[in-house]
Amino acid sequence: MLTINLSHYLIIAAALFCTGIFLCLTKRNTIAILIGIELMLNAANLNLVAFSQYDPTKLQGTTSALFVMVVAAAETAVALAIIINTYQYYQTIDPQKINSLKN
Amino acid sequence: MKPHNEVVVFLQSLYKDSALLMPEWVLCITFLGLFVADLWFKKQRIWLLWSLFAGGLVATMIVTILQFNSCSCQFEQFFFAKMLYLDTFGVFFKLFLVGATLLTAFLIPLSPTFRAKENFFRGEYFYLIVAVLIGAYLVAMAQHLLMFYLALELISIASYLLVGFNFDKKSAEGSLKYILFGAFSSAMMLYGMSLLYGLTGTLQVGEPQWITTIFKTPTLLHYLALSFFAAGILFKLAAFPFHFWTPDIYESAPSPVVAFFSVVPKAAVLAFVFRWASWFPSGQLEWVYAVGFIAVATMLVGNLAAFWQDNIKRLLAYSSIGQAGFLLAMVLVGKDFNLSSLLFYLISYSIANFLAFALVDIFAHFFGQQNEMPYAIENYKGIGTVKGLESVAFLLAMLSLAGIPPLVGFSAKLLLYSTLWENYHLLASQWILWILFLSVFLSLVALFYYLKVPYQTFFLPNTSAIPLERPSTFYDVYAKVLVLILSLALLVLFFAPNIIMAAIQQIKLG
Repeated sequence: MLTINLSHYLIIAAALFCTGIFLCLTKRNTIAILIGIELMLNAANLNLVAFSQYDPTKLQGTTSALFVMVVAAAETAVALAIIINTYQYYQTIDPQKINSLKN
Repeated sequence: MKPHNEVVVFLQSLYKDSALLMPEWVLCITFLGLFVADLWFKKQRIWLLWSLFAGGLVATMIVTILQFNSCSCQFEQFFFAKMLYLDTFGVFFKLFLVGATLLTAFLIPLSPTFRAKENFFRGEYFYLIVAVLIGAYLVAMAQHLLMFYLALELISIASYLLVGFNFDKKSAEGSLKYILFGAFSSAMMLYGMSLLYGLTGTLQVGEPQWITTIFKTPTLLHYLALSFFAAGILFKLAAFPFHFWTPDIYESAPSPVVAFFSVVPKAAVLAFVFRWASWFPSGQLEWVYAVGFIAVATMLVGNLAAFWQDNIKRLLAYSSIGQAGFLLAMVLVGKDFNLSSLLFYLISYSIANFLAFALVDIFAHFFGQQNEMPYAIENYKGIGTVKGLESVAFLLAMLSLAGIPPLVGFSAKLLLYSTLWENYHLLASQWILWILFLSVFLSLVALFYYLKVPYQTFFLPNTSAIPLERPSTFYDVYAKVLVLILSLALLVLFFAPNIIMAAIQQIKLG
């Protein structure tokens, strides 16, 4: 009988985190990159909640995860506003085509 | 005690602690006041909003000074369920941050956007800066990783929006790049934070048991967690390897905002980094190597890449990366005698930087609205004969950043070198000697690109048509006064460094 312990949570979180980084680095659509960042944040949340079980006194991890979700929502709202603003100037949201600044 | 009573006691302690947050309350009231005033007033509002903004900052400064005075007699203390920590070090940084923001407020009327469309100017510009300042205040006091994350995100989210305030094509691209890089690195930081929580069992940092777990007996996982955590911090410091966003953002954002970014978030994060560095166990050199490596790499990248820039804002961006490297070199060893040289360097760097960005805007306005590239360095050819005062001030700012006497930048660099030399003797590590040599060498190299613009202004003949002399307006007088005050500050602080040194030397890290 397989029991689910801490390491299972950590492996899933690590896999989520790597998927997030992969999305950020490969996708050519800004929305998809945002999804990747969201996955990375959720991996961290999963870690926080999993570790929180072993925190004897307070539920610091669980509380933090709640705060992180709110911050992530705010960040996404700002990001979407910025993406719409950029689309009006460039007619695209492919980050590789948005390069009028000299590199 | 019954659970109910515990809650009451906890709430009472929160109520009692909120008195210690006076400067932050004043900032919050300023934020809300600006928000309401922005909705309320329709015409002739720009100067009204500006005065509300500056007034709120002055009030915050006064309250922070009061806190500094009361703090230096009391002992250091934790408050808000040990989330925040108050000591003279933190309060001094808060004072520095609000001072820098006030300088930003004086820079704002010089920006071309402000001059061009007075009545259409967005009020959000002001209160987003206040939001960044609240975040910076909290970062300077944070002693809990969740608190640090929230405060850093407050800085970041407001900054993403501020970059876009030129409302043009470049600005939109800059804010998009900034939010993508910023959110990516803060997600990495959060993942590192969650691993640190798992390794130590608490998010509270700085306790003896926490220090032992993290720094004394590190395993591979500790290194991994700390390097993830460092990603977010290095991003805000614009340090290697998270520096690549800097030139693009500096080129596209409004100059006052850039001057603000190059000082305020950096200083706040530096306060946090310095607290961490003070916990490094003495005798264990791997942490010194790690920070030293990042400092050296940052110095190299910033100072060498600056050569090839032909846009003044990009040049200043690379210069600020290089300066961040020098600041990080001071963090090398967390000992008390580093503290005053770090703070002095920070102050001297910010004054010169604010002067440089003020002049960039003044010149950009002089070159005219119809000029396609008001920030190109070739515009500055032969301008020294037309704009004498401003050109000399530019020379002073650049020389101070490069560290040439008789300017305050020289004293700051000298303090840096002597601190490194003392640390070399203290730790007997060849590595620190190498960092010292490299930073002296790079300061000499930096002189070449810092003199790029003064060379254009004074030694090259004017080729492009100089814009017609317009009648002197209020803005021109204002600009001249501001430039004069800042240039004098650079000179005065060289001859009488005791003006700030006396205050700095009282400061202790809790």
